[in-house]
Amino acid sequence: MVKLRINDREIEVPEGTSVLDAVFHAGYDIPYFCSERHLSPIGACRMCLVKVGTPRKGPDGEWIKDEDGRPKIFWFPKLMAACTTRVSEGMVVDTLADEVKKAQAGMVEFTLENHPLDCPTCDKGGACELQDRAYEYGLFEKYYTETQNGLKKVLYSRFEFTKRHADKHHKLSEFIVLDRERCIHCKRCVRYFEEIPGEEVLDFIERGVHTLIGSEEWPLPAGFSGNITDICPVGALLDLTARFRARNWEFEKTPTFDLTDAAMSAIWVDSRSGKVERIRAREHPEVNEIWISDAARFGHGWTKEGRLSRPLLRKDGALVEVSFEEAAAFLSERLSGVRPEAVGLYLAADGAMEEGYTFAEAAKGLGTAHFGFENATRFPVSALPAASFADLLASEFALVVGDPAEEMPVLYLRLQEFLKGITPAPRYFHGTPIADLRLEERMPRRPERLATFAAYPTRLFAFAGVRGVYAPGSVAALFEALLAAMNGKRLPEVPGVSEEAIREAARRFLEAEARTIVVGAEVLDDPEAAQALSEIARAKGAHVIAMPPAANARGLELTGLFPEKGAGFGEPGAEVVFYYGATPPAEALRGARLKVFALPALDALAKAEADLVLPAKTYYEKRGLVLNAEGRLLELRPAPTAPASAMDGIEALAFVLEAFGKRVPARSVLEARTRLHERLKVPLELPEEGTLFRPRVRLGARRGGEGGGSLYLRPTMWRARMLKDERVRRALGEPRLYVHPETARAEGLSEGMRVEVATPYGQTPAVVALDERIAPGFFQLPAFGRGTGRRVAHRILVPSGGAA
Amino acid sequence: MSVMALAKALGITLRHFFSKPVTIPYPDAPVPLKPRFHGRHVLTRHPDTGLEKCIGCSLCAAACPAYAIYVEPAENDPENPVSIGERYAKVYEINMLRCIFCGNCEEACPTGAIVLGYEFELADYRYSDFVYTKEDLLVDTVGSKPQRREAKERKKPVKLGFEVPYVRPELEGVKYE
Repeated sequence: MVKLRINDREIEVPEGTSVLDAVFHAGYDIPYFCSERHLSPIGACRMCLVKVGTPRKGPDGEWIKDEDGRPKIFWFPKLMAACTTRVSEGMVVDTLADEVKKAQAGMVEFTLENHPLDCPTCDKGGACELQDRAYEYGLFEKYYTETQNGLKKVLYSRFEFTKRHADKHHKLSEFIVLDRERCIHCKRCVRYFEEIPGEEVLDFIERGVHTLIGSEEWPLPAGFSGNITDICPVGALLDLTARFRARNWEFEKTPTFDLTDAAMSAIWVDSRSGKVERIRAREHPEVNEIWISDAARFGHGWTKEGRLSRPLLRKDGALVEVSFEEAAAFLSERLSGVRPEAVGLYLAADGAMEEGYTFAEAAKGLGTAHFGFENATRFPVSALPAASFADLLASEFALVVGDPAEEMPVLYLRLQEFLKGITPAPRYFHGTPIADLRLEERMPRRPERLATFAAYPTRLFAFAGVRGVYAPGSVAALFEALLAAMNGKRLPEVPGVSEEAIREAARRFLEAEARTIVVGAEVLDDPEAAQALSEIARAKGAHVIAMPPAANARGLELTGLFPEKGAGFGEPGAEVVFYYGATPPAEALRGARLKVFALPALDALAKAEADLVLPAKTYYEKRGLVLNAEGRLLELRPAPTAPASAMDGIEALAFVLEAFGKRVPARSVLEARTRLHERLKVPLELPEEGTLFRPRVRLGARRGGEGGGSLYLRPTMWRARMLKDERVRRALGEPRLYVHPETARAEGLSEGMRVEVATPYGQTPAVVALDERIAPGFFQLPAFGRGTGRRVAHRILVPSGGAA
Repeated sequence: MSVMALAKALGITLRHFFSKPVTIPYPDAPVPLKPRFHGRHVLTRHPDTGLEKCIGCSLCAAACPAYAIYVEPAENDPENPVSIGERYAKVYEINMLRCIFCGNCEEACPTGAIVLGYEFELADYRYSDFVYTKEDLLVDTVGSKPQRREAKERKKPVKLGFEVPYVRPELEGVKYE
């Protein structure tokens, strides 16, 4: 710890702290633009100039004293940038001196000199760091002096200049627009891309006043690009999905969690007039830091389109709006005489634990074995011990099987941190350090810390020391081979992966003292592989981070919604089905006599098949508990965007059960949570950042549902529902059907050919893309959250004249 | 008690009997207003291009102490812009029941788009009719909602019940006849 004085306050901070953090830690404020949490401090904006002095030691090794016998302070000859200055013992910092104030005001003026006066039309207006700093540290009173008759202008004014002019509407991607006039050259976005996702795509072009931000690439690499709109201190980089939707102070800001993937990043849901307009990242230092994926940020358009506000009942083949009374009458008529054991109750992957509890209890009450949740894996993820991202950062070696960049995007960013060897920063009174001097530009990533295997070359391959592409469906062989290599036994063959790669991965795994294994949906869907994995983890000692395809898989399994025997989500078997929040593949409805859905908006299957559709809430609008992949219990808070009559899972289920004349396990979220508290010791009150909750769960793997077709569904961060938004469709382009050239030749396919692929989830157009790195004999198609990591049967239809 | 006092009092009465009355037979005669009178708002246009001055920045709504204004912005079609620049007000509503005619919106407006005019005859029958939308506020519209409704029914031009010595220059393009 280092002792230093900030103005009048003596404080103690850890060694290596920047003066900027020390000043904030002491409770003082200094302006800054270029520093940002988790980015390297570079001292580009010169806003944080402060007066710094240190005592010195004489030749005798003693502090040089002044007349009063105290260590004499030698002030630095000029003001120092606080963000790049390290604290030292006995340092004295003055942030209130006149020269400091003058320098800060001068820097604000320099920055404002060329900043356009767009504030009324700028989406950042009201949340702009430059606006705030200009008010707090600007020069207003220098321009005007007070006279008897009011204000008199004495100096030139910033309104009198011809400002620099540059491109005001430069689209960087379908989601992000750059206004080059507004840019103040803080370099946050440039550093972000290099330091956080590890892609150098943005940079400064030209010098001096002509400097502008630019990229050779169009569009920006999708995945994590949206974060630059959060960290831009001005309105230069803006989110196009929220363009001109409202001013910042008009949004209803709801702090909640994102349920696109199982990491459950903390988000702000900004809504206005009952519509979700914008999603921003919220800081959660242990989960997503301050970053979220593009799917979580830009994929909210579906919540606005075609929202149902009343039940839809099929009459003469068409769905028509009816009252809730009529819907209930219809249900009780059609449900009379139905055997309770033949009813199937299914919940979407983003259902809350309270909903999961109610569904599981209702199924128990009915005596049916048909229940489950969307994207449940065959091996229950709760059977694997949960590990935190902090455990990953504390490890020395990570073995990744799967594609974290798509399956759990936030984990990919934490893996980048792991590769650079960054450990969690110390916490200050103001939270995360703003200028963390441990971080540097272009920090080397250490490939020897990572081995990764996947069914196709993932984004992580560029950073891994050992990598291999296996044929889909051979993860069990892969883990057995790894185990054999660790035990020095003969290796079984793994299609596509060389023996050296496996031996090398096993050797590095054993050499490391702390290890983490990250596995994706494909492993969880293969009980043999998952068994081998848990054996490795148990015998050799490793943390396991599983990336389940269902966001709240851990939570829903805990409540007992994991189907062990009956027909699960998307499997035929039940005579009467009730699906809440998501629709299954069409074949799951085979043999069902009554099909009831509760959906936020109609989709193709519901339009064709449903007998009754109830209006449902999206996860932005629900209250409830969720459990993320780390086993962290988090509480969802509802944004005020649901139609008044939209029902959450508990209400919708109660509606159906009442019409059936059966007992309703819970009628409200609070009631269900109280039961969960009694049953599972789930805490009733949660801190804002959640709490680790890892009870022991006894669940066995499910039998059946192996799939085994030759179409492998690649994980994607985007979900099928998000494709309703035209902007998302435009950004993603047409789905690609990846094929090995040999297989393509055998099938008569060529690069760029337009085909239609019929999968159990429906027919989708795709463009053939040849890739010789993937295993021959398989086709790979983006899953969009449906059947992630599975192999399914398919048919490829080549439309006449479809060859490009 | 004197006769003189009685005559004096009668004299005052007689003088006022023959002088010009201060009361105005409204609505048969127009009310003279001062130039700075705060009446119903007007959304002005640029006189040369005819584009709306309002850029949908919502600062009027932010300045409004009565929460009477609702603005929903949208992006201009560059081929066919509604206002100057990238942004315009797709929805602009003022609830005249809430409005206290303080003029803060006018002061907050960075483009001089919203200006308080002179019309004050806003009385109407339904709550919903007091929400004035863009078409009720834009510069070419003369008369309040009930006045225009009545004029339409009677197939006569709107009759305004006031006169001003001169129209403020801020009310660019507004003509009261």
